[in-house]
Amino acid sequence: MRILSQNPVADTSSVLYRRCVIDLATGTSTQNDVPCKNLEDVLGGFGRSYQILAERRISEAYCPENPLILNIGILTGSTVMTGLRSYFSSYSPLKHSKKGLPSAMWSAGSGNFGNKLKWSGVDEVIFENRSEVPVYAVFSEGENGANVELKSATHLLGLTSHEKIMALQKEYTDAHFAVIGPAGENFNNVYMGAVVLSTDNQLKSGEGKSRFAGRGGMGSMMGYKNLIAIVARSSDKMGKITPDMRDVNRDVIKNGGSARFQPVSQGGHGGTWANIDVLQAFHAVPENNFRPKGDEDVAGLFRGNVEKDFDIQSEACFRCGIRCHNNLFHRNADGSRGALAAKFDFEPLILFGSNIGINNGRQVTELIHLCDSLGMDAISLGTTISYLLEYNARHPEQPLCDGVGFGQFDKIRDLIVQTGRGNLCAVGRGVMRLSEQTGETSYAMHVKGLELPAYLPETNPAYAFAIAGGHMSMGTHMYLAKEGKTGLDDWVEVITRQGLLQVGYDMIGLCKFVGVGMGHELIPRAISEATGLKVSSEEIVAAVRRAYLRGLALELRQGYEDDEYTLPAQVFENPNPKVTLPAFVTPEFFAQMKQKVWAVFKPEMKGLLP
Amino acid sequence: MQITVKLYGSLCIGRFNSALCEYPDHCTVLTIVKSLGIPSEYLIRLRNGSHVQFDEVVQDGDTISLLPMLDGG
Repeated sequence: MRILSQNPVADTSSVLYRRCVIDLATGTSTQNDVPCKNLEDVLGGFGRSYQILAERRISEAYCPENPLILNIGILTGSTVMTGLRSYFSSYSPLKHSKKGLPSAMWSAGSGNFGNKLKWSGVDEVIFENRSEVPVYAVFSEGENGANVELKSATHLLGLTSHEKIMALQKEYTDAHFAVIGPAGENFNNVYMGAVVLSTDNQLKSGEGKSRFAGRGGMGSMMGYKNLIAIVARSSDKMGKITPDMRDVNRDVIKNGGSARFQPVSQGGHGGTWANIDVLQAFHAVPENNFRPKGDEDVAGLFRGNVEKDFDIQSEACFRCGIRCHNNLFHRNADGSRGALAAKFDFEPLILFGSNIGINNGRQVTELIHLCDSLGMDAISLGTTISYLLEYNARHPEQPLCDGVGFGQFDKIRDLIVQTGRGNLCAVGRGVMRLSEQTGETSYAMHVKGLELPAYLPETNPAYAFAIAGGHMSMGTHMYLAKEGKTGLDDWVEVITRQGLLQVGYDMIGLCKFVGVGMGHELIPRAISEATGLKVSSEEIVAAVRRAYLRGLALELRQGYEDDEYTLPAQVFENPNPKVTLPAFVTPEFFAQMKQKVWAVFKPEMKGLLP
Repeated sequence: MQITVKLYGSLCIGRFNSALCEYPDHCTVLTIVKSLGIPSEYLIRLRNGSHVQFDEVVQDGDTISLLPMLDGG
């Protein structure tokens, strides 16, 4: 990125980012410095990539004209703590409107890959068309931007995501990697393939401690393009930490927002795993396809119980002091620490645990590990499986997939393997398509074609306005549990003022676990210290808001109708009395909420698309 | 007056899960939080199962539940 002026708002074109366009069909590439059109371009991530997607009319995801865009945020590769993010954007093979048009999507991941990509000399890569043969792309730092090569990836085919990363590391010792697993390779039958990103910890330990850009099937898009891996090579170019930057990073660690995710031993609450304790207090932990039973079965997944079987180590992404990872290690017979079992976060823990009827920590770790190795999105896979299990419970006389049921670990494990290897498209293409095939859509837990994360839809009507994943693009999933608010105006306010701003983290290159709102003074301070650019909180908030609304406008352009902005019908038709949080999401409430939200959003959406 | 205090997640560490505690009449939720040495920010507070503000006065026999305020990811 070249910065010619410190005031990017007055003259956005004075900030230029380095774009590389690779034509996978011909193997050629071009690079140029692109002046920013607006502050969204300057901040980066999906704020920039969605403007590129908006310029194209795409009617099916798997077509040569659908680009795969890899980019970073303005703080990726800086000395700001958590500034590691890389973003993958495209029209999604998974998320689509009922008209059949694919929705634009992005997915974000940490690891050290984004840093290396930036340091190699590019800020953005657009992969055009598709390669006839399996290839991987190598970016190496050069004198004028990055050197780019495409190489045969035949030797990587069939390997798990971790195996691919370790194989590539043998050849490129100065690099980090973005790869797909077998799921992405089998893109025709798996639309939920993830991009798997290497971490320093993984490369040093040889253990499968990857990070994932999972949502929306960006790994499947890589597979369609026959792009099996991306290698980013460079020396480490982390700048010197100035005293002011040290203060920024201290505030990242010390602010109460991030402290929540820190290890218990550090005075935090132990990562997102702790959500299970909180939500169980309301009997709001998803069980058996988002249908809490009102009992204490999920206690088997509480940290205190899992600790009896595993060594738990709090670990971190590269240079991050938040240390939110809870890595579970097996115990050897002599009591010493054994091999890595899995990383426990709330989403995979619940979606491969209580939500499919499994409350045994050992079994859950195995399923998480399988999903990660095969390179699938844990949320989409877990939520599609839970639907299948419920369908079978309702139809014992004519079940699907060998009659697999809730809690049947061995059969579920086989289901995951078959899905990841491309042998089970019923699951691999997601819950919306599966439920349309069975004709039973009311308990298919998706909104607008994207599977729900592990927060009950009856506690979050704002899922309807999430544009790229229920909890990643609308920060309201814990609002009811946290605030207890059920008023119409409360929800309209939180959606239209605060919730949407969550997507700002997917522009600037920082992790959401920094834990402050986009309007917090820490954000402009971090940008100023890292780049010299002077941007106010108000200007950042306005840019994030425009980027979100552009995404919403793009959904409408891709054919989404008003009735698709809804929740699974079961929420309205059959409320669950076991949940002790207030039941307030009635059809009337929801209709009024939508009307008021659209009344705020629609006037602002005018003119945001070309 | 006697208040049942329930703690969840990491708040239990070094404290308790549930305890019957003695507090002066007309005390508030914040009084209880402070008495336990729990930081008051990022805290979910329930009185008899319903969300309450810190300045709410509690009554003899109430159950006050305190939960860490987390988020997803």
